[in-house]
Amino acid sequence: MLRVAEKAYSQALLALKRKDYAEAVRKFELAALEFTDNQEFELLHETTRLLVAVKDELTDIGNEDRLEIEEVFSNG
Amino acid sequence: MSSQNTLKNLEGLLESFLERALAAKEDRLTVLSGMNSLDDISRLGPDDSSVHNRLGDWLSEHSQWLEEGSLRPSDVNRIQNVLGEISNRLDLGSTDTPELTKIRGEVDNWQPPQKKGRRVIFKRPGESKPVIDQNPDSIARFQAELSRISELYQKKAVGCKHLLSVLDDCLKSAKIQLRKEPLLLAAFIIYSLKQDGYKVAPYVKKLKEAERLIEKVPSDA
Repeated sequence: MLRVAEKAYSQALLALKRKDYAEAVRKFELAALEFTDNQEFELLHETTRLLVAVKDELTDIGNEDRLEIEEVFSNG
Repeated sequence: MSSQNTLKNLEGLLESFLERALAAKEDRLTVLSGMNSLDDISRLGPDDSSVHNRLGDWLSEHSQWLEEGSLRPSDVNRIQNVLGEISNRLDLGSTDTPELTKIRGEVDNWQPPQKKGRRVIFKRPGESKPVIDQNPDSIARFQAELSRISELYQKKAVGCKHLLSVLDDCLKSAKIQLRKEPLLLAAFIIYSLKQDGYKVAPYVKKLKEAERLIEKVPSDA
């Protein structure tokens, strides 16, 4: 059987292929202990983490930019 | 440029980088995907009735790997090991059906060819040559060794659900620790499983690898 970390690494790569970046980060975290000395692993891991952070930031900015429009009816 | 545009550019760059990094590993990803799905099958419980179907699907989907011969030897070895484990579990308590026979046949195609007609030759020095032995009492020495091996088995078996897991653990220990006891225990388990009709070829290969490593260790180490 695949070791837990090996399985997590392969699942991370498959998640990247599907563009499920959040899932990829989760799987990279599981694999990190065993592959921490692997440069390729670190590069993919950190790049994906950065991408997820950028996407989160863009989502936050997008929410701030949304204008909430309210109609207020005054008496009379 | 607004911060949003900067971030969007960065997002595009990072996605593009990851896409290209993965494209460079496309072939490897295909292999990893196949090994991952085989690993999922190997983790199914013994009562899971989908094992046969899923294994059959996997074998037909990946038969071209055998035909093409494009896999790394280490990948072939791992697939052989996992298929051997799954196949041994299928042997347990299953009645023979044409489907099961076919699956076993396809699993056998993955196993390395067995050498036929192998002879095991035991060599020992002639009676006239002195045998170097630090402990002349060979019966007591073996008794002590047997006790150590038995204790080792008790420790290894804790938490394991099948003897094959104990065997895997022994082979790993033999290779990493370069000790004789896990090697001997592994050999005993392999022979015992063989007597019960298990296919043990992948384990024998690992045993021999561990044995070669141990033989290189100086005897006074």
